[in-house]
Amino acid sequence: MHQTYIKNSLGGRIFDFFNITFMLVFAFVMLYPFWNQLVVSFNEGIDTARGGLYFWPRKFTLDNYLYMFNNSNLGRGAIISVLRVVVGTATTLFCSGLLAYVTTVRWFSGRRFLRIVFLITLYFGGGLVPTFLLYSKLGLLDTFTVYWLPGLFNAYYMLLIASYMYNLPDSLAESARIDGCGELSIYLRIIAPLCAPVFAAVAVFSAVGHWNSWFDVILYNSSGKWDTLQVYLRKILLDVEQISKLQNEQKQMAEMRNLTPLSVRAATTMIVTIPIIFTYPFFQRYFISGITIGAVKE
Amino acid sequence: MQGSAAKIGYDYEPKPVSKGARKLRRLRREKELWIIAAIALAWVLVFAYAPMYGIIYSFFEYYPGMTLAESKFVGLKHYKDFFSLPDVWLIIRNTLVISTLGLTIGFVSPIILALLINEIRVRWFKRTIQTISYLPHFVSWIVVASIIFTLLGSEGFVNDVLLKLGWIERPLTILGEGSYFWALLTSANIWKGVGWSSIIYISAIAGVDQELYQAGAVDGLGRFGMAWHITLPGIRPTVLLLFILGIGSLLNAGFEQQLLLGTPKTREYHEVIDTYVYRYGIQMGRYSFATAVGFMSSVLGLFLVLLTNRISKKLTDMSII
Amino acid sequence: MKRKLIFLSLALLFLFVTACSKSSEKSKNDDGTDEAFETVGVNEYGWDVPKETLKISYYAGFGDQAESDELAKPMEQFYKEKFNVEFEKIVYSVDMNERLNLMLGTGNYPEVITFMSDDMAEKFIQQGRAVELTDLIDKYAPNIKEQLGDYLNLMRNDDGKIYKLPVMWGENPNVAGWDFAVRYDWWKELGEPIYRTPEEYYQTLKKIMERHPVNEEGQKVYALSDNTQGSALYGAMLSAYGFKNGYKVDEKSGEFTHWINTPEGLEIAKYINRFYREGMLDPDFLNNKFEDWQAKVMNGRVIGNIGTWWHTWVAGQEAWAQQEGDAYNIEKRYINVTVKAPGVEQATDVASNFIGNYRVIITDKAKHPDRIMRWFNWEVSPIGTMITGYGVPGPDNVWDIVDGKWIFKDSALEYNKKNENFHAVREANGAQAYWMVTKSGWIRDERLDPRVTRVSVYDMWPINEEGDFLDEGVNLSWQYVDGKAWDSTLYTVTFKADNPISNTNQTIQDTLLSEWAKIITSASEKEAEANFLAARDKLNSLGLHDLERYVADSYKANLAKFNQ
Repeated sequence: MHQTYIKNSLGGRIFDFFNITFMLVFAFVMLYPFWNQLVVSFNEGIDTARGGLYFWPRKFTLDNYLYMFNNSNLGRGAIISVLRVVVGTATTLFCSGLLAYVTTVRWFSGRRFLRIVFLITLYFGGGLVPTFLLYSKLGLLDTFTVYWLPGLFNAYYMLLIASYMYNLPDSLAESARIDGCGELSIYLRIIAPLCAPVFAAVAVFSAVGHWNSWFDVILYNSSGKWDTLQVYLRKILLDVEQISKLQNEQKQMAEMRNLTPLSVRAATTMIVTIPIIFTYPFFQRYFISGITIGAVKE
Repeated sequence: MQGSAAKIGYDYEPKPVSKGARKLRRLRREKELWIIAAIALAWVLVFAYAPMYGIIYSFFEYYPGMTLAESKFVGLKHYKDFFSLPDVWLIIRNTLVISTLGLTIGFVSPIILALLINEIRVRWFKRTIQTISYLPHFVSWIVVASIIFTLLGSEGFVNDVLLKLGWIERPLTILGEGSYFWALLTSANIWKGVGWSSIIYISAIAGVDQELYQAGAVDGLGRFGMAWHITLPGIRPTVLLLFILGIGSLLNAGFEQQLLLGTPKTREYHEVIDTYVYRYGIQMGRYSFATAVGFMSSVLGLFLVLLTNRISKKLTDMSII
Repeated sequence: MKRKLIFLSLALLFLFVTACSKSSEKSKNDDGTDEAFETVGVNEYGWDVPKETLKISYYAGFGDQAESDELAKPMEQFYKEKFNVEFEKIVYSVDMNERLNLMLGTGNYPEVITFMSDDMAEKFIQQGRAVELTDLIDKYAPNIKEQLGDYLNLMRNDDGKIYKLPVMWGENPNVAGWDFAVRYDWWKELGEPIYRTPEEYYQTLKKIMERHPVNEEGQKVYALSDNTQGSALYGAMLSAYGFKNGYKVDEKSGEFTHWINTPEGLEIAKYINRFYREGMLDPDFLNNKFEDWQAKVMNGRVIGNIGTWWHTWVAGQEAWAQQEGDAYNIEKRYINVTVKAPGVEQATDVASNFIGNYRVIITDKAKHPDRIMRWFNWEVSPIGTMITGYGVPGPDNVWDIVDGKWIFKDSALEYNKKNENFHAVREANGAQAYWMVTKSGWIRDERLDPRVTRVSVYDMWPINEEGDFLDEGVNLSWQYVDGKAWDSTLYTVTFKADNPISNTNQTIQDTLLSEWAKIITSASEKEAEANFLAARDKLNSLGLHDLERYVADSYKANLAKFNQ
């Protein structure tokens, strides 16, 4: 990083001190809610209802996690989730990136048109019912395809990646073109590798998006055959909202009694988030390390 | 080097040719790109534009299951209805204030965070902090709300400390004061989102050519100088892009947060367009009305985006389209 | 430029074509009698068993399909063997109204839809998706006519035809509704001073608060708290003043006055405000979600409750019993008390809405609506209700049919093990697994075990020979509850989406909530009164008088329909 080029002045050292202090306080503030959930997930449900849990479990138990793992379909859900993340992220990344590349070729006459067409889709949609009907007509209901096909060309990612590609010098692509390279291979072999940081960031967004999505699963794949991990966990969380909508008092009382305790919901959050935390460093190295474009001299 | 409006064409063909022939030649050269574009266009037509017919229903008294012919045409009635709702200007005010706060403080914070993280020299510390920073993104709003209540409630941590220090005699009802709500909501939004939003900036910073820093060092730039003159301009395209796109969401000021953090006493300040439409549109089964309001927000959003883009093009020569 | 125009026009054409062709096919069904329905005789449960397996598919609302199927297995087997009936119960993990919209949009829905809101039922009926039931009921469902009585008239539309039936209907299964609760053990310390008016309640709470200012951990104890953003506070108070659904009804003139427009409303405001000003009301009462409030109750920080009876029941004694197990002292509980303001004839704390809030319809996809109606007829019979609510009768379950009588197992009557021995066991035997039209009200039948009372699909309360509840704790809790229900059925008001009064209603509800919060958190009585009057003006300017008239008219219309 650039620090290696300069010696640290006194001002710099003071700054470092404040920066690190700030970071520590910041880290605590950011970490605390998550830590609190972790604590709650390891605490007994009925004890948690009394409140007052802060930094450490009061009545430690693994019951909350065991309750989840009792569901034998969890494993299948996890596999489908992973599959969705991999296929979904890879396809979105490839297609949106390719689209971004196409719109950054400076002499391409259709690039402005493309961008406008996609930009509009960021703000306008048909709504739930028309989309549902469309998928129904296309035969996308109750399939795995519905997870990745409607996300192929993502306007937002395209714009993000394109903004990054602007910083790359034209000569890179031009020289390849003169050598007779096709556009697709220019994209794959030259441009994409140089965009590693933004690709990594978009990959994170896309992967997390796919990993966390549950609403579209419940809506389009209602049969349960293609349930992802999130769906199993979400169904537990949805109880709370449903009970508040009930209009029959007896039913409400009956449901309230059986409400999934806070601690199980906390365990849900953990099971969903921890995998992300463990895979994140894999992407992180792409944008912490930095690249040198200058290596390709004009 | 930026996407200027000028077209740079190949100019080593000085022979004058007819317009048609020129077009044909261009097409041939751009053939590959057009093939890719065509696939993308076909896809977007099917998946994005086809469902947009739903917008038409906002001009009718439509309900799912009925055909267009069966629904009564009402023109702009639903749009007018929105503006005749009581308190409508209040909720528009709230929406604008909350989004503006988000677009200013909320927009700048991730950038500052990214820069600060970038300044950390110890690698493992840098990566750890970066990972920790996005954790709140995964904590649901329900939990965040409950933590806020624990902190700011009458028996909460803050009141506890203030009472002990003797600065106040009775506990403050921070959560009951409407005027604190905007600050509270913006802080909560930042708390939850700053780490996650900073990811894209951190990745953008990573894309700044290292040789520029070398050159800067040679020119005698200190650390602050590097950040100001090299890093910031280096991530300018990303910053501008996100800002311009963000403006388009001016009328979406959140939904879940208001429901969870708002109380009857803060209603004057926390009611926004989305919560309003949810209760007066979706919950009451008024599908067309909800569609109408959504459409209005979209039109305004896109208009703002294009406007801001034009301003950006004039000022910085950078455009997102 | 030309390219853009071509694309644009193509897109518009596309849009136009798709919009115009968006319709979902309506199905035809045969709604006449079906001569081919052969039966082989009535089984031991009163059902005329068909020769050919009767299959019914129905959408039951929110749920997890796998879980639902699992729980339904015992009933599935039972119905197949003894009844020759098969059900396909469909549930989705999406909000029911959203799903129903999609069903309408795609034209894809099963033969029966139940547990739907009245509003959604009306939408299906309006679009002609519901089968007319009037003749079917006459021919095949005498039980329904008998049990619903005149209330069936409320199901008729303006032409006098019936397209929907209620589900979860019946005479009120609750003992208490709104109530004024207090911690029994603390109240006993004072010598059990029974309170009957709001003022007496206030005095009692005050005395208890003096004796118990903090709990064991030194945290402050409050007389009252809340988890409904303040709405329960006025809800319960209004019931003490005899208001009906928040309105003062003048029987003679038929006029409905909203409580904000009455002098009693001001009294109520001042009363609650006094709790707040004297520090007896939890200052965070507006922020509490149920779980936060529950935590406070469980930690012994709340003395009483002005609100819904079962809140303190679930968060108080049930939670303590579960937490403390064998060490639980039965006197650590909340008692529910009926409170009446002076001069009021009857408190309206227990409302009984005979037709409930949910409906069932037979859709146009049903191939043999008459057969479905026959099933409905059986489901509403007393035995049908019992089986629906309690599952397969037998020695493994909580009940069995012995010598023609419906006897409960002894272990199920143990109150302190109710969750394990009663609720859990019957669930394992298919209780409430299949439910289309059964009532949730009280089941009255001579065959019923004399040792229980208030039997419904949701619960039953064991009693001894004197008629007192078997469980001491329950007796303690309910000895001061009047339990007199008022019939609120005819007072239900429907707000249709296209009627502007619905907007007014929603606006008034929202505004009322925030004005109420302002009123009761006023710093002085004068301020509270001023805020109250300001709120009154504000609400009236928003159209409250129109709403009052609409509610009054609804009542008259319901009355007319009922007396047809």
